[in-house]
Amino acid sequence: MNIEKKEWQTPSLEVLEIS
Amino acid sequence: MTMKAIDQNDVYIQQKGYVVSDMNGDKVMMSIESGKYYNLGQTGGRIWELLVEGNTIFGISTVLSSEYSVEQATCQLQVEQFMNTLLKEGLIVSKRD
Repeated sequence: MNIEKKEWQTPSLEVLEIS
Repeated sequence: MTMKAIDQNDVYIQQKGYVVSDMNGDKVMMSIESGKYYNLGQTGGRIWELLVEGNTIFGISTVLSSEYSVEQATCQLQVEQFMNTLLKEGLIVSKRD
């Protein structure tokens, strides 16, 4: 059974200072 | 002072104390203590889920390369870089600590 794979996106972290 | 880097053989787990939510498929989280808001995106969110009970870089990239159209080696390299960022931000800890 072929399972369709999702498109890969390079993981990245966005950081925002709440202050 | 030397910054800690991710060790390929270590098991890492989520640091507790963050408010986590899903927003349009992206995993977002907030730390009241540090006053920071984080957006991990979709792939980062999946990595975060795989860190619930602890996992290694190899373990995570094995799962991801079966779910996403990416080579295991490429995936492992990018997961390591991403987890280094999480470690520096204090979002994950080694189970050895």
